[in-house]
Amino acid sequence: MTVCTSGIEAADPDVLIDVHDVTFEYPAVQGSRVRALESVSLRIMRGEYLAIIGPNGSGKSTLAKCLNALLIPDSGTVTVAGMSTSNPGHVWAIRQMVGMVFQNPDNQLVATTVEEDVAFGPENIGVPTQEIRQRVKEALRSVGLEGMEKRAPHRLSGGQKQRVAIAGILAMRPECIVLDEPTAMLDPVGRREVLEAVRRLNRVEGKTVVHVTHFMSEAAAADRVAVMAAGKVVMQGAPSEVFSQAERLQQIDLDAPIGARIAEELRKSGISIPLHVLTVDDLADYISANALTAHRPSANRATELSTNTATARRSDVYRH
Amino acid sequence: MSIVIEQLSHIYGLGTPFAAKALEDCSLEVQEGEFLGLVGHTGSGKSTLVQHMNGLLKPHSGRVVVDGQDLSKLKALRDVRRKVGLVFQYPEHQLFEETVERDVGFGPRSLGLTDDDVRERVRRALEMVGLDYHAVASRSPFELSGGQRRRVAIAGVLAMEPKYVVLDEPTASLDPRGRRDMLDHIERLHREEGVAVVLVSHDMNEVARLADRVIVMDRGRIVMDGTPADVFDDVDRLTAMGLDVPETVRLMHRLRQSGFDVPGGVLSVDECASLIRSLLAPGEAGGDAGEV
Repeated sequence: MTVCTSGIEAADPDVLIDVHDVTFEYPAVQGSRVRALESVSLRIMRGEYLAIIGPNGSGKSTLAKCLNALLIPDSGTVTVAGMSTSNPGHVWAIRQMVGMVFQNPDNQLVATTVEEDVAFGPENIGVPTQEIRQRVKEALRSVGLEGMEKRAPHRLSGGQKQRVAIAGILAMRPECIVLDEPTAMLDPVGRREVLEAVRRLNRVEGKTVVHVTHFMSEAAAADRVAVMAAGKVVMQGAPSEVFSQAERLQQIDLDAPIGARIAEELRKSGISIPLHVLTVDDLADYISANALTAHRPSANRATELSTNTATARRSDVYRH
Repeated sequence: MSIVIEQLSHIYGLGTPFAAKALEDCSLEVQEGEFLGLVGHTGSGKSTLVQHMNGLLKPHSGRVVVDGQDLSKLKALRDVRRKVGLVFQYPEHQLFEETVERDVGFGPRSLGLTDDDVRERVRRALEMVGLDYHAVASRSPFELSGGQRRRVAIAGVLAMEPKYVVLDEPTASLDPRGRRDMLDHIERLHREEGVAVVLVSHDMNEVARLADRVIVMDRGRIVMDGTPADVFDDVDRLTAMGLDVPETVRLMHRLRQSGFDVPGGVLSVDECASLIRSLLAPGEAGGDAGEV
């Protein structure tokens, strides 16, 4: 794991967004100011899938909004493909390159049909009609909503609405999509739909993805995870590096995914489970592959365990 | 004493071309003091069902009886609404008063209590959701964080001292800490105040941890009703309905599919770890399993 450093080498072509020593404050009551970001440095590489996690108020959303010049740092710089967000002349080029999807799909849809909604961005920047058609078609295909062109956005499910919002961004042909808790208001089916669409954009279409989330299981699927606490990036690395530090995560009120927590429990009793085992599916795969030579548990032990389970109060059992 | 729902059906937009059957032949009894988890796909009828529990919606057929009183025969629903507190999704959107004190005290004031009694109820209700009366009472709800605002809204329901509290996705879009805090308060409300809780949730991990009993709804019907262990072990059926199962249950299910002899009802992280220990290192795990 690399602990966040502020030393940045200049102009690496693989770096799409370079956040360097950024501080940002919001105005608060009676003229005071609240510091949301403090000396944050982070580099986002072309084509990567970066998850940003952290408790409420840790600065995740503020950082996300700095990535496409919705917010401009008070000090430090955010550079997108060599363009500084602090330069007003670059703002439109940056916003075309880095699109943003927010938490509440209902706040992001503007038109009365799906295709008009997706076309809204390209229309605004004067893309010719024929090309808009093409872009809308491709964008809807990318998020799995072909055939829904004429539907009314407000009659779609949450997951579909959020995918329309993503398609609207895609129609701008961005290099990077920043998603700020895109699944927070969705049900499990909607969450799955959106996650699959986002993962596909990254893997198949090569889009750079920055995904701010409260769901650790979503972060576990990223290439890299940055953890924020109190306005700073406090950990970053591969999911396996970050989520294996259960105690450190707990200190900042985050949980590792349940698979990682079970793996951690097993490690404590001397069973070595590799660090890349994060989700329950990873764990199931690992155990199935490695326990082939072990004996199956005896019927007796199984019965004993289930009896214990039945008599203990659920909440007592789960705590510890 | 209980909330009894008998053969309840509800149709939205009855008599219009858009008529849609939301509930069909639902029967259910919520016992005093129990903790009930209510799960189901979006559109399965969960919210419609809970809105019948305090007479907010009226059944098109069937009946709802709260503590022996048939709601359709009551002239006024005031007493029922006091007894059954309903917390909607995103309840913080319903805050409207200038101060937290006035917002939480809105219900109690309408009961004709003295100022001192109202204040005492507000203080207690805020305490139940983990907010300090002195710190927040005189502040505007709109200065608070999202999680705090939600707790103020819930305190407004608790200030009516209900016997049954129905919460419709109280943890939606909170962060992990906010979720944990919220659930801790709900659990304490149930344990210490003896309030019956109906928790509507999409998070199966929460429901598995807290509920005594789980109800599953699908397309307007109640399709499963049992202990968390019984309900969640039917992984194939839940998956077919588009529902998640708790992650621990999915792990056990996957192991079972790979041919391991895994008992049912394993729900907690510690139980899973013990079980896996016994799979990977048989002979050494008996003691651990016993400690669960």
